[in-house]
Amino acid sequence: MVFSSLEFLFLYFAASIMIYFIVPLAFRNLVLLLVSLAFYGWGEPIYVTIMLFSIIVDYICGYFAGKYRETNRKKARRFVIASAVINLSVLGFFKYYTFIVSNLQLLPFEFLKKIPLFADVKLPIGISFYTFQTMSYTIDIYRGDARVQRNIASFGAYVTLFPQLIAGPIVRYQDIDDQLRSRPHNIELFASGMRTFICGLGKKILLANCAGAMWEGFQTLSATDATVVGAWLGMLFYAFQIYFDFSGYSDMAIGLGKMLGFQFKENFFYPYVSKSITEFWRRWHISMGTWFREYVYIPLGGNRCSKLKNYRNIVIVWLLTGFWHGASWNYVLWGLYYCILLVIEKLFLHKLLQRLPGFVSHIYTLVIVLFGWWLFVFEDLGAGMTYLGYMFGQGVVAFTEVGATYDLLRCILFLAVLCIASTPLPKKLFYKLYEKGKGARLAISAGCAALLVLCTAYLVDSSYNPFLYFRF
Amino acid sequence: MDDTTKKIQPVPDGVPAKKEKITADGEAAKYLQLQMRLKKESRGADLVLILLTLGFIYVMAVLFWVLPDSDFSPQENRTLAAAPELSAENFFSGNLTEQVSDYMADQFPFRDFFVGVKALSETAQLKGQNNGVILGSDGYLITRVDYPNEAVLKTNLNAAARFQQAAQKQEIRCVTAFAGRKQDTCDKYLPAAYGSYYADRIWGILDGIAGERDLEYINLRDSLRRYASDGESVYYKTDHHWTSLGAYYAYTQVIESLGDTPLPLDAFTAETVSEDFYGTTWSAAGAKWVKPDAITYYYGENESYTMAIEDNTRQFEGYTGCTYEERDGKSYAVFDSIYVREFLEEKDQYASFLGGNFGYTHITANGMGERETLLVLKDSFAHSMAPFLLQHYDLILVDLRYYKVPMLRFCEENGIDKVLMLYNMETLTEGDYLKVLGAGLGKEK
Repeated sequence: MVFSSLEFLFLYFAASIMIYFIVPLAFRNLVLLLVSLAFYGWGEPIYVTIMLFSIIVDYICGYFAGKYRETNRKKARRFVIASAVINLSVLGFFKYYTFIVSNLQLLPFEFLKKIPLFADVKLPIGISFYTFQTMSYTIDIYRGDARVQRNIASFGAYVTLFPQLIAGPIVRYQDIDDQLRSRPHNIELFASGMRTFICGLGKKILLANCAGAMWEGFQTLSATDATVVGAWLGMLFYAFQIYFDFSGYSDMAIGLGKMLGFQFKENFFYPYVSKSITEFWRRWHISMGTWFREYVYIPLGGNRCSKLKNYRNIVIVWLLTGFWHGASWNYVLWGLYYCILLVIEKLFLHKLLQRLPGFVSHIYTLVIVLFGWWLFVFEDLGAGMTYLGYMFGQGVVAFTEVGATYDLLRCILFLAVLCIASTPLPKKLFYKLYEKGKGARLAISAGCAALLVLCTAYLVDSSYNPFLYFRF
Repeated sequence: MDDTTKKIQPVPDGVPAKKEKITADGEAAKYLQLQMRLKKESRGADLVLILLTLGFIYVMAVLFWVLPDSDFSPQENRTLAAAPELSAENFFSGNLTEQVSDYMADQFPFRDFFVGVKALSETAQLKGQNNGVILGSDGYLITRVDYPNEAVLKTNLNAAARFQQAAQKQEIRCVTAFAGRKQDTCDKYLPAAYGSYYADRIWGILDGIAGERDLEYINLRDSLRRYASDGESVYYKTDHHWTSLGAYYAYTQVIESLGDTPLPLDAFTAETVSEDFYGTTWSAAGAKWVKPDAITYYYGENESYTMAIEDNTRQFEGYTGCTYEERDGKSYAVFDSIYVREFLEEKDQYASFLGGNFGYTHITANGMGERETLLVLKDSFAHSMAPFLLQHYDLILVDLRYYKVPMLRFCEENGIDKVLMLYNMETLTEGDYLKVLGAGLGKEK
């Protein structure tokens, strides 16, 4: 179930939120666990067992890691390793097995051909997110960054927490350790959460889905109808789609969290205003970047080691980042692409960019990111190359054609909205208005409710509601 | 855990996070503090927000459960999803999830209202189209197709050409006429930036294939386009069909090729039978603010017909002037008129012409003696042309989508004197419906 669906809003949310606030405080984590399991089981009635398995594994590993961390470091370490091995094996099997085996079978060894492919095993929703979360628990315990959670209901609630279950943000255990034990529930927080949620819903439905519908039209460009303008317009819409889709989903998660009394960390910080790739990655999918930094980069030595090792660490982190996004070569290339760019920026370009006028470095960043999305979106490298050709006039019928020009013209206002919505401006204006006075705040409340009605209208109108980050 | 920030080390790129201005969490915290600081003053607004949003959600949720389901959406002309079967098997197979999703979208309270709201919102963003329908000037709602299926067009024209040639060999006069879609004909009402480019393109392709295959055809697009650009209502604004007037203009051309003289328009009596026709493109566009069309019937001097429709589902049971007859194990709905006026009370009013789409329809005039029989191989555009053609011939109308028999033999068996193939571009590019015409005509050249 995705948040941007009628069944979530009018069945699941309506019911869960009522139950959650009716039961006494002491049982709320249990309620959270149960409703979250229902949320997940609704979409994955069978794979929910994998998640339960992951919960039990880390409950036990975390318990022993905590028990021995003071007395027997070595023993404690074994449980951390066990947790990592088990979680990564589960993730590896469901996400990467088929990819790895089918690539190995390209090698000229007969025995490799006999390995079963399990190509029809589908990826459990959100597995990339929750395995990372459960691992972080055991590691945090081992490092002394968090306390052991003896209540399995509370621990289960952390893992299954429906707001961030299927598409993040990746919440580290240490960040909500305290909140699991006690958290505030009040009107201000609930209202604030509702505003954030509706803002995210609007981003997803009014911006991402509409941009996605445009991209879908251009994605299928072929030799008979491809144009340069169409190809660029398509990539542009995709760039907006993926941003508003993902950041909208994160906003919805954060908003729902607030309603339930949690404070998750932000996941996006206007990435499209960045003036360098370095900056872009500080602003894009922050929780994933943090996870790789905390649990991979720094343990490998980070940058507090020799230059060579430092570069090795960067390469490892970015290959993993790319691969985490999907079991396909294009994601690996995508990770490598950013790795190379970040190293170049680190060597000299970043210093140069800071000296250039702002708009130059901004355009540079946007162009790089746009080509990044090109790498990202085409799992079939052949199709990707063809599309890239279109962008540069290879194999197109014309520079532009009526359809592309007409779409550009009729979407000018929409594109302007997308651009402005990518900047901090709307939020700034929102809070300016919010501070203005009671009347303004009442207007905001009415506006939020109207936005909810509008989003509902779009959902009713259309079954077109694909959610991009489902695959991860 | 406010102290987590102190542990943040340089990010993997290694650029030291010196004088990092403001972070995402910093900004979020700042704004949350602001909201908390103002919490007393904003209590009222907060309560209003919660009341409105949760109120909306719960009211809709309750209405969804309480209101009875509807089986059919007249506006969309389709059956709506019904409540899914709640069984373990259905659940574990993963079907239930999807079914509930469809069910909720289809049975959502005030569904039509929400669809209209979405259309209005798209229009307000100046997007100029909704659900693939361009909101043209003067209330014309025009389906947009940039690239119709050329391969299908080729298959259809190929079969049509072979049939035409085979029929002519047997000395049956066979006239082929192709009508435009609204996009082809009513481009006057399209945005200038869109215009007739794609329409011209596909008609150029049609022309090319017809030339290659020696297919003779009447181009009804060109002639009706001239009428449309003169401002005549030759197509419905809210539907994809041509109007009776449009059909009349097309008839004048077709009848000449069939070797007869068209009757002048004033030989007919016009009656406006409906002024609230909301057609297919209106449904798709959800443009509730667009005004409905009117439907006009044109009557000739003798309007006494018998119309027999092969209808094994007996869907006209109980309609006025309709009786059922059984012949050769098939059911025929026999009407004493070519109009099924019951449809004028429903959404799909165009179906009042000949009762809608059926495989086989036979219309004979009463008291006009022995007349020639014209076989019309057609899509629904022919339905509103039938009143005019009936002034000259008895008609057998065949829709090849539902009635697939070898047509040359059919002509022999049914004493067909002339054949008219009448199709609009949408049918020609939508599916290879005409392919069956080529069946049994020997090997392709």
